[in-house]
Amino acid sequence: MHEFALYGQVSRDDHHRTLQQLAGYTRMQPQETVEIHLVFKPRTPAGLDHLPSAGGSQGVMQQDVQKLKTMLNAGLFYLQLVGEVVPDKPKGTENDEDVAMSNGDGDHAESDRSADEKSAVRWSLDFKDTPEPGKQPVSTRLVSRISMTDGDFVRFLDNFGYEYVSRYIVVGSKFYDHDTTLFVHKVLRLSQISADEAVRDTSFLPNITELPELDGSGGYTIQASIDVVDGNNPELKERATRQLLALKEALKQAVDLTPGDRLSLDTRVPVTSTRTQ
Amino acid sequence: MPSTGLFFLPIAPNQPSPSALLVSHISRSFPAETLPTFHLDHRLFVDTSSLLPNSDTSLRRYTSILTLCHSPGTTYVGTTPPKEKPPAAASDPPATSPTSTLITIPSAHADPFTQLIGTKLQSHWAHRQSLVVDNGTALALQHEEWIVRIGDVRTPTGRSGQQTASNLRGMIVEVSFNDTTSVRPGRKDSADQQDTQHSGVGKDDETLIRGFLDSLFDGTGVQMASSRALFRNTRSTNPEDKDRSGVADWDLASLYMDMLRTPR
Repeated sequence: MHEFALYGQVSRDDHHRTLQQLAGYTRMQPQETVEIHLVFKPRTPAGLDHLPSAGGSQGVMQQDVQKLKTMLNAGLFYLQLVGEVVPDKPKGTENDEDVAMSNGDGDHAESDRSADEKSAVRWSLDFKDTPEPGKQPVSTRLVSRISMTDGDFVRFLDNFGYEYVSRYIVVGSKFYDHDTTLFVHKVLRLSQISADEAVRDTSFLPNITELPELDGSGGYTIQASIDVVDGNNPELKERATRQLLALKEALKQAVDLTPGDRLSLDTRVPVTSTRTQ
Repeated sequence: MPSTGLFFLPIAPNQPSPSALLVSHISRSFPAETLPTFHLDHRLFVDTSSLLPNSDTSLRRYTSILTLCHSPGTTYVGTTPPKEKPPAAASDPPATSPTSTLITIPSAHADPFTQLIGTKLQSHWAHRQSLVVDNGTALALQHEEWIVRIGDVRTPTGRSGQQTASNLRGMIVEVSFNDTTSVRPGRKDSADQQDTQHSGVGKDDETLIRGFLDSLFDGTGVQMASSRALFRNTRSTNPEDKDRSGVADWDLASLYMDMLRTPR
C-alpha cells in the first residue's frame, strides 16, 4: 500500500478556526483520535559482521553469498506499534463532538471521552518507508499496517529482531473527504517505561491534557493523505496526486500544504560501522 | 483438555499420497461424521544471517505465518527465540524445544505481512518455504470424542492451480482426543496460555492416540511408523463449543509450526 501525502502547519491560535474550516469543507464533525506510538529499532543482523570477504571466488556458492549480501544490506527500518484508542461508547456522540468543537484552544477536549475507566486499544504494526526521492508534487511512500489482535506483541517483536526504544502519543482530529484523510494532530510526550508495561499502560489517558507537548508552541501538524492499495498503478497514482493538489488549492487560504521534507520523514536506521568488536 | 497428536508422513517424489485411501477406509469402516474441509497455509522464514555459509545453522531462528481452518479469520505469526547455545541433548523431545512467541493477526493481513517481510525486512528474514493443505478431510468419530484431519501437504502451485505429483511433500494427520470425561478446571484462554509448561502430553495420552490411529489405519497397509509425530495439549476443538470457535488456540498453532518448520 502506498501513502500519498501533503503536510502543513497549524499554529495554536489558528487551530480552532482550521478545525471549523475543515468541518465546513468536509461537512463532518471532527473525529477525535488518540494514538499511542511505541517505537521499535531493528537490531543489526548478526550476518553483517560475518560476511565472507570479497575475492576467493567459489563459483555457484559465491552467487548465493552475493544475494545474501544484498539482502543483509537492504536497509534497516524502524517499526512502530501503534495503538489506536477506541472511544469508550458511542453514547451521545453528537454532543461530545460539539463540545470538542467549541473548546478548541490549544488544550484538547479528549479528556471528555477518555475520562472513563479503561479504554480499549487496537494495536497494529506500522511500517512506513522513506518517501520516494525526486521532486514530487506530493510525498509518496510505501506503508504497511498489520493489525495485531492477540498475543505478547513486545516479546514477539523482540524475537523478531526489534527492540523497544521509546513511546509517545499523538492526539488530534480526523476528517474525511472522499478518499482523503485530513489529520490535524500534535505529539505529546510520555514518560518512558519498560517495553512490557508500555503496551498495557493506559493510565495517562484520563489526563491527556496534562501531558507535555513535544512542540512547546502548541502548534499542530496537518497531514492530508490518501492510501492507495496498488500504489504502482500509474492511473491511481495520478488520481491520488490530482485529488491532493485540488485539496491544496481549495484550502490554500486556510493552510499551506506542501510535500514533506524527505529526510525528516526518513525511517531508516543510520548506517554505522558494525565492525567495532 | 484435548490432547492432539500430529503426524507427518513424508512422501517420496512421484509417489501417490495414501490420504484418499485412508479417508475412504475410515468412512467405510467407522461411523464417522464429516466436518468442514481441512486446510492450512504455512509460510516459513529463516533469519537471513543464518543462511551465510559460515554460520552455525543450529542457532537458526524461524518465523512462521500460519493460517489454520480451525480458527477462521485468524492467522498466527510465530517467531522462535534466539538460541544461546546449540540445543542441549537430543533427549529433549521436539515438542518442548524452544517455543515460538505467537501473536495473531487477521487473515486478510497475512499477505501484506508476507510481502513486507520479503521486501523491507529482508535483512532480517528470508523466505524459506511455503506449504499448504488445500482440500483435506476432517472426520469426527465417537460423537466428536475423536477428531481426525487428513490432508496432503504441498508446496503452493502458483496461479495455475494445477496439482501435480511433483509438489506433493507428504501427508499430515491430526488426531485430537477430546477427553470429555476428565474436566480440568482453571483453564485460561488469555495470551498467558503461551506459558507452555502445561502443554506436554502424558505418555498415556500419547499411547492412546497412537493406538487409535493404528486401529483406524488397520487394514490399509499404511504404516505411520516412519512418520514424525508431535504431541501437545490443545484447546477444545469441539465445534459444538460455539463461543470458543474462532478464538486463538496457541498450542495447536505451535504444534503445527513445530511440525511444518522441518519437512523439506
